[in-house]
Amino acid sequence: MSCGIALALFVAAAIGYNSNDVLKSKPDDSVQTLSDVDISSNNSSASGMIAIPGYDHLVMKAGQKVQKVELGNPKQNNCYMRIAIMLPDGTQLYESGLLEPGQVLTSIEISQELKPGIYEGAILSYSCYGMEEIKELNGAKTIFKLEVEP
Amino acid sequence: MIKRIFTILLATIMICSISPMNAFANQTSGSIAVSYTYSPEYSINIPASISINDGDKFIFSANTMDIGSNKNVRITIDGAATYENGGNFYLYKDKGTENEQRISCRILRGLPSSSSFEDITGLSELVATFTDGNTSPKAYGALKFKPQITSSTPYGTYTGTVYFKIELIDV
Repeated sequence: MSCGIALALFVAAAIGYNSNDVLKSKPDDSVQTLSDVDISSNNSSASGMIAIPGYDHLVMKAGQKVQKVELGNPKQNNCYMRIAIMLPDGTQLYESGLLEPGQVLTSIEISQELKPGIYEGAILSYSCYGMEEIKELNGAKTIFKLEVEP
Repeated sequence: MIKRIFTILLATIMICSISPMNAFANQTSGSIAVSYTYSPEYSINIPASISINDGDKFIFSANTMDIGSNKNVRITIDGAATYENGGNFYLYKDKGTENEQRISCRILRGLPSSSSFEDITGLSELVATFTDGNTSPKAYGALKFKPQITSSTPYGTYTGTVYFKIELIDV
């Protein structure tokens, strides 16, 4: 009899331990890795179109070349993208390689350290290329405000 | 007696397992700073390539247009990257080879619902405007391409690349 109670309590203890573990792991399950992030919220783009994301501003840190960003080729696109960042005077800060659909850049190394300030009219350039044959497709330049924090 | 002790021990383990251990761990208080910057974002669909046949037109659309009521998204043709010879748009066949051929191509703009289109002549002409929350264009929004073919134009497939300039502007 006592053995039966002990066994039941042991099973209950095991279940209790595991349910605690599940509760702890729930928040982690909801975290998306950056590679899973679809930077456009809609997948309705038809083939033959290229989704171009645009931003009001991007933030970088002064005095360092490595910058944290979140830029990429939207998942619904059917082309490669090359992303370039330029200062308003045309100075190129960064150029990516060919990004596959869904590929997101989270850290980049720019060509020069920046001084703190707001750079109005900076350019985010998207050059697009076919996936079956690497030929240039239409592209776009989006204008944004580059905020460089001290 | 040993069995009873074992039973009590297991019961204790069970109670400890069910109880949230964090409650015992959080003996000191603390705070974290939470910040969230909500800033305008948008996503515009541009044509990957242009199919040039009579009657074909491309209509711009947006996936997201979360820009605030005091801003518009304006799309113009990036003339510096698209045009040659001070304002001509060319389509090429066998580009970069000794057999290269090119033809001039008119670019026209209009409303998606209209059959009336007008030539774009400037280097930075408006082709579409979007307002907050609308995925369809408010002004213009459709393009047509008309290649200038003559009797001496060689047969073949001609392609060209158009660059667009997209920016947020204050209303």
